[in-house]
Amino acid sequence: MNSKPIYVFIPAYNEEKNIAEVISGLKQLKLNLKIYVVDDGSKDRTEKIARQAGAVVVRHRVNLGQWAAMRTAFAISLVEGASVMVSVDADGQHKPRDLPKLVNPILEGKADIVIGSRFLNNETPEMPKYRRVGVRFFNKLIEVATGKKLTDCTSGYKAYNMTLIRKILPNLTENQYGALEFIMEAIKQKARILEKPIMTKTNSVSKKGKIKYGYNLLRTIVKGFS
Amino acid sequence: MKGIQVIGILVAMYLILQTLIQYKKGNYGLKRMCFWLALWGLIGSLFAFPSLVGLTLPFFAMQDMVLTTLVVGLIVVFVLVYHTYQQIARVERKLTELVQNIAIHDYMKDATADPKGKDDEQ
Repeated sequence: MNSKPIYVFIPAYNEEKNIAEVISGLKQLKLNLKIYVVDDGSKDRTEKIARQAGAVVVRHRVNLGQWAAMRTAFAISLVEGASVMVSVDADGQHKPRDLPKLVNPILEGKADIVIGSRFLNNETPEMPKYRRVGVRFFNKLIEVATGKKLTDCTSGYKAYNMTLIRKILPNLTENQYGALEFIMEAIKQKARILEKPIMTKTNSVSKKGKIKYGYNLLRTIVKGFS
Repeated sequence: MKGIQVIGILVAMYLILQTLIQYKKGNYGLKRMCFWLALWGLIGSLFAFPSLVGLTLPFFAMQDMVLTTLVVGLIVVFVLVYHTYQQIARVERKLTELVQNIAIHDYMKDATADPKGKDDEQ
C-alpha cells in the first residue's frame, strides 16, 4: 500500500461505548493511518476516550450533525494535505479489514469515491425495514436523476480522493443528512464512483427517528435537484 | 365597535409597542422597524375601519370583505413564514461555519503547540 498516510475520520456523537473499539480496530490494520475523531459536541466521554485510544480529536463545541462533522473532516484533510481520506461510522458497524478494499481503487487511480456497500454481498444487513426501503428509494432517485446506479448511497464507510473533495466541499451545505447531497455533487463533477461489498456488524442501533430520517433524506434530494 | 375589532386593535397596539421596544434595544434597525410598524399599523387600521377592505375589493376582483381579508392575510402569512425559514437557514449556516472554524482553529492551535502529539497515532 502507498507510503503516504491515509486519513481516517470518524464522526462521532455520544459514542463513548464504541469509539475505543473502532479506533483500536483500525490501529490493528498496521497501515499508515492517521486516525481522527470529529467529536460533534458529544455530551458523554467520547472525546476523552477517543484521545486515550490514540486518535486526534477535533471537537465541535455544539452538536451540528454528522455531515457537518464530515465537512470539518474534509477541511482538516485538505489542511493536512491528504490525498486519500476514509470515513468510518463511530457505532462500530464497519469492519476495519474492509478499509484496504475501499482505499486501493483510489490509490490506483481507478476511482474518486469508493462506497462500502452493505447490499453488494449476498448477506442482508440487519437494518430496520424502513431504512432499507429508504436506501433503495434514494438509490432509485439518484439513478433516475443522474443515471448512476448505486446500491448503498447512504453508507458511511467511504473512501475519497481529496482532489475531488477540494472541488465539491464549497457546495456542501447539509448538516445532518448530507450523503445524498454529496453523491449528487460528486456526480455533477463527473466523479468516478465505485462500490465495494462490505460486511457490517449487527450490534449498532441507529439513533435516527423514522420520520425525521425520511424527511431529511427527501429534503436533501430536493436540494440536490434544485 | 365589535369585540373582534377591539381585540384586533389591542393586539396591533401591543405589536407596535413591541416593535418600538425592539428598536430601542437595538435589536431592530430603522428599516426593519418601519416595516413592522407599517404592517401592524395597517392591520390595526383594518380592524378599526373594516370598510377600508371594501375599497380594495375591485382591485382583488373579490366580492366578500371577510374572504378578501382572509386570503390576503394568508398570503402575508406565507410570505412571513418563508422569510422566517430563510432567516433561520441563514443563521444555521453561520452558526455551522462558526463552530467548524472554531474546531479547526483549536485543532491547528493544538497541532502547533504539540506537533509530535498530532503524529502520535500509528
